[in-house]
Amino acid sequence: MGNTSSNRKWHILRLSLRAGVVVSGAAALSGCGEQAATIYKNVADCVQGNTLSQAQCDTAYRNAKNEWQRTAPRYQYRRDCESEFGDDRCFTQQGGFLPGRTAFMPVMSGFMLGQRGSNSGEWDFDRPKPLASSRNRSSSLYGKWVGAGGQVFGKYSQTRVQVSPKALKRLKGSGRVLGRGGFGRTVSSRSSGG
Amino acid sequence: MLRRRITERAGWRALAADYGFNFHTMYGEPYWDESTCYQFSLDQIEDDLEAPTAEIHQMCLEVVGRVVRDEQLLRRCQIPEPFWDLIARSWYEREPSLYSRLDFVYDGQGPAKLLENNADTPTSLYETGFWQWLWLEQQVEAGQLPRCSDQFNSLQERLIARFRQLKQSMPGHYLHMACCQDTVEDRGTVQYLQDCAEQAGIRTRFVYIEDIGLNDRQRFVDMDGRPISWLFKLYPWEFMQREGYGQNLAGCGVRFLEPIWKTVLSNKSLLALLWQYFPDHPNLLPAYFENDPAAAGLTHFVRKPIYSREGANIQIVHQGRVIEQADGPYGDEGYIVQAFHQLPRFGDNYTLIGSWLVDDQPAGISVREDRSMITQDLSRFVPHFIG
Repeated sequence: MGNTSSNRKWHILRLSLRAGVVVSGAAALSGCGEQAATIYKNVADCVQGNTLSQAQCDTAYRNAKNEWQRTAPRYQYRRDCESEFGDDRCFTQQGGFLPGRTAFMPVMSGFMLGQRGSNSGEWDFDRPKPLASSRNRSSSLYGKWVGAGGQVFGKYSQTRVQVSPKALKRLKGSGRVLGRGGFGRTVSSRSSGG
Repeated sequence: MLRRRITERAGWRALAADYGFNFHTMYGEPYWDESTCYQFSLDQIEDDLEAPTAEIHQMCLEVVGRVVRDEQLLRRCQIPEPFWDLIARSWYEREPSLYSRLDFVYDGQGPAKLLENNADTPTSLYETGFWQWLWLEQQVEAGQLPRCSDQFNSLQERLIARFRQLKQSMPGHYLHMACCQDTVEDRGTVQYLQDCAEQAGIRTRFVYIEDIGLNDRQRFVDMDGRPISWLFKLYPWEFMQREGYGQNLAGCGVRFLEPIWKTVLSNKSLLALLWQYFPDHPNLLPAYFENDPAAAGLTHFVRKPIYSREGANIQIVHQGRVIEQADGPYGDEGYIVQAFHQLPRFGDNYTLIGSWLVDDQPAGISVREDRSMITQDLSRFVPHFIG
C-alpha cells in the first residue's frame, strides 16, 4: 500500500492562506524504503492491540490529538467539511480559521504509529500521526485513512499499513545520549536484592 | 519438617562452574550448603506454605489497592509524592508483574508467619529454581534420597510460562535486563532470568543499572545507545525514585518489571497495614507503625526501617532492651515494629522459609539458614525435598 497523493481542495485553501506552507509527504515512490505502521482508532484499541501499555497509548493519543488540532484541515463552511468527511464528522474551532471566525475541522478518528528504527518490531508512540476518515460515500476519501496533509494511508478497515518514512514526523532530537549514571548511586558495592 | 544430614554430591563444585553458578561461596563462606537438607511432608507444603502464600499475596494486593488511592497512606508509606500518579496508574492498568518472594517463619507445626514480602527485587532465584532442583534429581539418582522424593518447586516452568504471557503484551520488543555492577550474585540472578525469557522467545539485552543513559528524546538507553522500552531491573524502586534519573521516569515510556506499583509492597509499612486490615490473621504477626500508640503494646518486637534490605538496620527489642541488631544505611524514612516470633532453631541455625510466587501463583520454596536471628546476605541456602 503506497501513499497516494490526493490533491484535496483544502491544500489549495491552506496554501492560499498560508504562504510558504508546503504540502509534505504527498508522494513517495511506492515500495521504496517503506516501513510498517499500525493504526489505532482510539486508546482502547491501542491497549487492546496489546503492543503498548495504557500510559504509552494515552501519550500517543494525546500527542496525536494536539498535532491534529494544529495541522488538521480547516474549512470555512461546514458543508465543505462534511462533504469531504461525512455528516456530523466535523467540529467547530473558534478562531481556528481566521481571526474572529469559526472554522470547521474533521474529527480525528485514529492515529498511526511507525516502528522505532527499521524492522525493530517496536511501535514508536513518540511520533503518532493523527488520521481522519470519511463516511461520506460520495467523497473520494470514503472508507480511507487520511492524514492532515491529505495523504491516504489505506482503507479504514486496515490496521497495518506500509508507509514512507516521511509520512511520520521526525522526532525532535537525534537520539544522542546526553549522559549516563543517573541510576545506581544508592548502592554501588552491595547486592540490591533481598 | 526435619533437618537431615546428607552426603554431598561428588564434584558439585565443578558442576556449578559448568553451569555458571559462581556464587555458591561468597566472602569466603559457603552460601550453597548441601551437607544438610530439609525434609517436608506434602501436607506441610500444601496446607502450611502453598495455600497461605497465595492468600497473603491476595491480601497484599488488597493493601496496594487501598494505598494507591489514599494520600494519607501514601505519605505514611514514605512514597515520594512525584510518583503517586505513576504508581496509581500502573496499578489501575494492572501492569503485569513477574515474581515475588514471601519470607515466613515456619517450624513444621502451626501456621507459618509472614516476616516480610520481597516483592520488588527478590534474589536467590537461580539457586531455588534450577540448582536445588538439579540437586534433587541427582540425589535421587544417586540413591541418597528415596525414589518418590519431590520438591516444592515449579519456579522455572512458571517463570518461562509467565515470560511467554508477557511476550504477548510486548510483541517484538527487546527486554532489557539490568542489575548493579560488581555483584556476581545479582548478575547470576539476572542471567538466569534472561535465559528463562529467551526460552520463552523473548529477545533480551543486558545493561548495568549504572550504565543506563538518557538521550535527547528523554528515553533511557543501553550502552549502545538503543532506547529501552521494556526493562527488568533488579534494583529497588525506592532507590530509582530518589536518584538522578528518578525525575525522568514519568515520561520515559518504559514498561518495567517489576512494575512501579510494587513500590507499595516492597515497603515495610505493608506489614503494619496488613495487620490493620486483616487483624488476627493466623499467618500474620502483629505489626504497627512505630508512632502508632498501639505499638506500645508490644514488649518483644522487631524494629524494621520502612525501607531496608537484607536485614540491615533491624533491631530485636525485648522489654525495652535491644538484644540483637544489624547495622546498615537505612532508617531515614521511619520504622515499623513487628511482634517478635522466634525463627525455628535446628542445631545452631535459625531457619527461614522463602516462598515464591510467579505473578500470583505459588511456585516453590527456598530454605535459608543463619547463625544469627536476623537473616542477612551471608545466610546459607539449603535444599529441601518432600518425602
